[in-house]
Amino acid sequence: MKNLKEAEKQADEALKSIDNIQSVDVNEFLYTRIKNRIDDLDGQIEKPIIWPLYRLAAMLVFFIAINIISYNYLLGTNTSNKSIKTNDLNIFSEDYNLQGIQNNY
Amino acid sequence: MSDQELVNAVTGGNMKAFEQLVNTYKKSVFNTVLGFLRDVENAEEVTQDVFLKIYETIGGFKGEAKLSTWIYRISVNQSLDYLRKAKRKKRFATLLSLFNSENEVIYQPVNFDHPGVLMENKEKAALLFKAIDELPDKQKTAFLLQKVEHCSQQKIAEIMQLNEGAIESLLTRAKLNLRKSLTKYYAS
Repeated sequence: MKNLKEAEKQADEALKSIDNIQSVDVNEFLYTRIKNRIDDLDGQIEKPIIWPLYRLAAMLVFFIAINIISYNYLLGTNTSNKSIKTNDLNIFSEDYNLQGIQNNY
Repeated sequence: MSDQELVNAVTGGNMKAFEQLVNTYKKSVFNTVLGFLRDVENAEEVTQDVFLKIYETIGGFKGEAKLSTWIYRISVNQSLDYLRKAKRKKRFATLLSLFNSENEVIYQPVNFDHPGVLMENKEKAALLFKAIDELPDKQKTAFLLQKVEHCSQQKIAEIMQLNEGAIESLLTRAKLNLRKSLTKYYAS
């Protein structure tokens, strides 16, 4: 019983131990550190918005360029194929004296 | 500059106004956080988090409560979040240590380091804070705001968004629980 009373007394003393707690001063560079973190945060926010736009623009330019090159190449191939075909026909018609004959089917 | 003018200026991106806000409230934020964490280094880190949160969310401050009340509320929430995360880390580390063959201690709990406690009270205060850690969050918050920040019951009620009766009840239960826990410790 005496032990319990002693324990209660010590507990009450412990409870009072923070009654006179002092206010503690803050690090004088607190604002500078917060400002640095805000600047870092702003940088991080800008990056994800700007970079995809650049990437998208580059991809569009590449896609359009590929299409233009392909179109020009295919057009060129078709024209040369046509002229080869016409030449072959001319040779054939010359060989068999077919020039000037019109088909009247 | 009034609170509302300060808020408007910060919302408008005025960094000078934000610096003024930090300088006005840094001591109360830091001491509130330190009351929960009792470690200067971690308290500084969480204080920075509090002001970052303020910077990011000040546009949502409607002026329904005082600016100081709103800032206290953010400080309490950030501190409780930090303690919850630390508790989770501790649990995870304990779990890991079960599988660690060398039984190496991975997570070291923070030692008592509150520069505001008088030297002759350090030992008793360390025990008291250990008991405070075991309190439910609401009792812990009400008790610390009263003892560390010397807030009135009305102010605590505004910060915790409860009525004064509820705060009185929380404080009574907190003191009873702490006394019980400390008595048990000293009796053993």
